[in-house]
Amino acid sequence: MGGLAEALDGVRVRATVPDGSAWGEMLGDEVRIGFAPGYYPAASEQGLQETLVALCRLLWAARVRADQAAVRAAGGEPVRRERLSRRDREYRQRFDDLVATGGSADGRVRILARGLSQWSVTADTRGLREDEFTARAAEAGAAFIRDLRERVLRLRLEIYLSAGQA
Amino acid sequence: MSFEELDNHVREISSIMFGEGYRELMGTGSPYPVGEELPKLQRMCYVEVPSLFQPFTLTPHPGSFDPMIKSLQKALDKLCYGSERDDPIYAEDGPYPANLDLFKMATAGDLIQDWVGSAAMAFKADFIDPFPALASNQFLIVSALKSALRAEQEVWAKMRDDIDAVAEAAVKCLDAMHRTCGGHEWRVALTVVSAGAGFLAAVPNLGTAAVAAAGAVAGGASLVASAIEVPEPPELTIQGSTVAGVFTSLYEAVKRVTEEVNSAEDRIARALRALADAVRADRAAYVANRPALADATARTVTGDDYLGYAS
Repeated sequence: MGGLAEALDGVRVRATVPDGSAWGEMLGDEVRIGFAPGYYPAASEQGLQETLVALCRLLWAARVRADQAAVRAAGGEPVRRERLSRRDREYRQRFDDLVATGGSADGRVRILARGLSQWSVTADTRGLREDEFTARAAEAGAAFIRDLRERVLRLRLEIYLSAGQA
Repeated sequence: MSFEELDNHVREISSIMFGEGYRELMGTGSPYPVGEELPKLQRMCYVEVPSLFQPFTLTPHPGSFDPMIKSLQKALDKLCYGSERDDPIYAEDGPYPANLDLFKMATAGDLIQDWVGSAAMAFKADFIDPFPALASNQFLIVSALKSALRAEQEVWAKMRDDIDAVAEAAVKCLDAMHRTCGGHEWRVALTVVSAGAGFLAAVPNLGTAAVAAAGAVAGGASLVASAIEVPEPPELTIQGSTVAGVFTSLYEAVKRVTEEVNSAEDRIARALRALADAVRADRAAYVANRPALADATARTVTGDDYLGYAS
């Protein structure tokens, strides 16, 4: 594992939703989330789900920016448009439709994203204290990241190793 | 990274490539491809990757040219008349101290002032007068030879930088490949292309300069060699969305470095051949004629063929 791998594995990002009601943190596959004091007990399930969707968007955008920054700091850059192969274009197209999901072990929190642009979160808060809920949300976040990695890898292999090399 | 650590870099590439390749095999989800592909992956990572870099570890160390360069610098000390003390091509190699021994020729010219006759005139015209120009031209040619060694030294030094940059880019590309969702590339500008640019730019003009300096001797013959163009440094790209893709990219890059080293060597060789042609074409501008007196014997030296008209 080289220096860039260590840098990417060590990328830590943090985001807070605009109204300050929720924050999240990602380090590798680990996720932590928390709420502003008094927010969780008062929030409706619908409102909570919307807040978590906003948090997912912000966290992932921060993660992509941080990854890009680490790559740029190591001298890399996104593949230039003119150098994109047919397979690169196919990968991008299929990536936009890629669905990744992750849920807590008990299924009370579930995250789903299509192409990392359309997000949805389902949350069942019944009978869960705030700390119990945030633990489950973090669990769902970690499961989502693992699922995404697996699906991206499979998509890559499917496209780039289907015939010949990329 | 540095070239001295190339072996370590290659081991790093092999190891990361194997790790990422294994991850890809596991990603296929089928035990059959794993069984079939694993030996191929091992071969690619631990046999083919080291083989790609192995020839570079056998190339000359740039420092090995230093003793030869120093030796030619000593020759330049001996040929320096003092009027041109700077190195004509590599300014940082000069200035050179004037060699007082060379001024003995001027003294010799004074000593034979009383010698008259055609032999005396010929001796003065053919040997005394052109001597400073000949020494200056030889100074130029030795400087060019030294610069050729500098150019060679640069080829191997820049090749080391380039192959090291390629190895480093491959490591980073492999590091990022499965840790990010998008594709990335690393660009490497090949510096070896510019190796010896100073030498290559100067050599075509050396013949002309020498003729101008020794015009009386060479009769102004043209020695202009055709210019040797140094192309723009090409830019290589290391990229790949799979281990096999990065390997292909790496293979192409290493191949290109080898080609550019060969081209740089070829340019230096062409310049040296042009230089040799220039010297051959106007030998008298660079090499003093052998005095006819050198063939005289004690019995013949005062005869008509030699000093016959001496007073």
